[in-house]
Amino acid sequence: MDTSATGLLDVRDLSVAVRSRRGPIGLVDRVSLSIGRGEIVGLVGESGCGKSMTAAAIGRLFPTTAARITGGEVMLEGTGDLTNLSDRQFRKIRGARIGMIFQDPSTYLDPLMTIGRQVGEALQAHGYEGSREDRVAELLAMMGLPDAAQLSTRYPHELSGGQRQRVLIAAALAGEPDLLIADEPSTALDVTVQAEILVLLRELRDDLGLSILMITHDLGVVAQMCDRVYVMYAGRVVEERDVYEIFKDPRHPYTLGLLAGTLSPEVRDQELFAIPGRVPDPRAMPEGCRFHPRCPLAVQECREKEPPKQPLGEGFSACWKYDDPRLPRAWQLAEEHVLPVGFEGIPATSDDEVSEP
Amino acid sequence: MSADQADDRLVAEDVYRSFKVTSKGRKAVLTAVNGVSLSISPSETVALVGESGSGKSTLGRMMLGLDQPTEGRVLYQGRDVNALDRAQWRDFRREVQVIFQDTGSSLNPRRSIGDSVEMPLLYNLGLDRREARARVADLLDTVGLPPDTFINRSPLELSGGQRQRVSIARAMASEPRFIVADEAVSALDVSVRAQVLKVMKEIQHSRQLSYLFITHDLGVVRAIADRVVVMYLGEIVESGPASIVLEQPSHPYTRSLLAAAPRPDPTMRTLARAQVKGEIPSPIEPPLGCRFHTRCPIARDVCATTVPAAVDFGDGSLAACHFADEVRSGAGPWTAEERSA
Repeated sequence: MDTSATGLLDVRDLSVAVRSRRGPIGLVDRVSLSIGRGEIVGLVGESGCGKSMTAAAIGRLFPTTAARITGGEVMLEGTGDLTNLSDRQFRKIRGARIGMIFQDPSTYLDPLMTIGRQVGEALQAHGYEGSREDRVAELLAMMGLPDAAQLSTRYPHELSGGQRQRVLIAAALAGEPDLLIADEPSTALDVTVQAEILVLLRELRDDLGLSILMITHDLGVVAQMCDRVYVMYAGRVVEERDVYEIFKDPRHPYTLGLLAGTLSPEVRDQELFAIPGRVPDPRAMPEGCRFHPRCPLAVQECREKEPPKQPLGEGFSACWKYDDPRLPRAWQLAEEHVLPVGFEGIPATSDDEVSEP
Repeated sequence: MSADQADDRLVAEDVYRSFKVTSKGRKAVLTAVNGVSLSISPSETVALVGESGSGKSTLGRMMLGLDQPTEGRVLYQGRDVNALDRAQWRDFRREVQVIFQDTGSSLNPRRSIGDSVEMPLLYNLGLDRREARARVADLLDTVGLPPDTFINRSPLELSGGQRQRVSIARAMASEPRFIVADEAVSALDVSVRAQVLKVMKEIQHSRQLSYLFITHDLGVVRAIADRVVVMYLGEIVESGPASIVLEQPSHPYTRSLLAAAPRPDPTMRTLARAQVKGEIPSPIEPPLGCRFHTRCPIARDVCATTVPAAVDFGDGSLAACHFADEVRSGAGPWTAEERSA
């Protein structure tokens, strides 16, 4: 499951730590994930679970003074281990093999530069030799932005949020990368525009065979977009499954909790469900399974030993209780006080996410 | 509490709000809200939905008395909120509270959580310091923040979910009757969002509060709203009980919004392109006829020329579309499935 024959990207046991005055703080702990050609893979979890940090490590988006990879490898087909490359060597990979887009496109576009120049610069960076103007027009059209001649002369602030995200995708794909890392690409957009951007990404996969790593907290986006899903909690992957399987038969209490908290416009009388407790502070991660303080099924074993990856189809669940018959109803049973919540007496009043240092 | 118990509602009566702007070097008038009527009853939760640029936040600000309508009136307990005397205005400011999305900027970073929640108790309710302190502890407890841990902290030390709960506690401190929540839970993670919504619902039950929930998240709307009001380019295009509007939408815009919401079900891959064309037009020169016709998947000739009247379905719902009956019956090219069928 860690290696795939058609794997384009193969991340093995990747660990990342940020520097702090009191020594390194581990944010990503031995994460393994693979992405095949033409595959859309989701990486989900709440804020502070390490999903963006994982993506940033793959794309080397942080300065080595702030964080560093403390273990593992990032194998890219045809290139080898990216963690061994110098920054200079890595710059050739970025854009040419791996493109990236983010939640807020305006942060990544230069406000003083026309759209045409920005996309043109991306082409130049990859040594494009043909007519740059024509290629810019082609790229913009591909992103559903017709009338490139006119658009090219405009500045980012003259565009809508949806148009800016399309321009950013055009620039990210200028070097014809094989892999696109999309970190919450549609979160800040109106729902109608979000739908268009998601459909565009799906079409780019279908037409160009692009592989996409979708980082999102929205399980709706996962259900609509992804082939496979990795769920992260407290720096670790806790479940990896085919998208149909994970929605039908989730096998990790954390995944179940996330699904139970998802609200649908169509569904009547929905419970407002929240997993009690909070994501642990990375400086004080729980022993054993990191989810055990919030888990209604936790037993002694969970508190002491890290759960192994229990194989399930093509994926796995890292849970000691992955085949416990009470698992599908664990959260209901906890709400009915049949099962305890909060082994370590975490009060229902404590809180949520921890900001990434 | 009110002089006129018969009308204990917060009401917008045919309100307009225009702004003078400069567009492409010329002076122009931008009408953000174009003749909207809306009323919220005690204990009711109304959700106001629409894309950015639909005028929903401007309407919210007018309901709060933070902005004055260019035309029309906002009434609270039968009185025009823009013609209140000082004492009445004080009561109104106390009884109608707001929670904004961005708690990073709506809480004073130099003041502790306890002080932020205490202010309205001292100034709005006129409690003395000792009473106020005790009440602060109760309020923090109500929103699930243990007072011992949080009362002396700065907002900077809190997570987004925690800050949002402080905002709720502060709004609650004034013992309001109405709360306008402008994208109050939009920035929160799924499970934190549920916690905050739960708290808001519990408080509503114990205090007969009314909410005007301004949001773009239709899942949240389904979970909390009694009634839904859909706005497009400054006008209400559809309104009615939440179950009807979300299950049998009668306006193409509402249907488009619903079709665009990504369903958390991989066996229903309904997300498809061109449910609505393009993006919301400028409110400076809104389209003639039906304002939605330029993006509508079922627009016909009449839509470009004639403003549609609201169709009343007799079940509490209204839709301003020439073909509302057709849309409600389920016709139209909204989802991938429907189109391939």
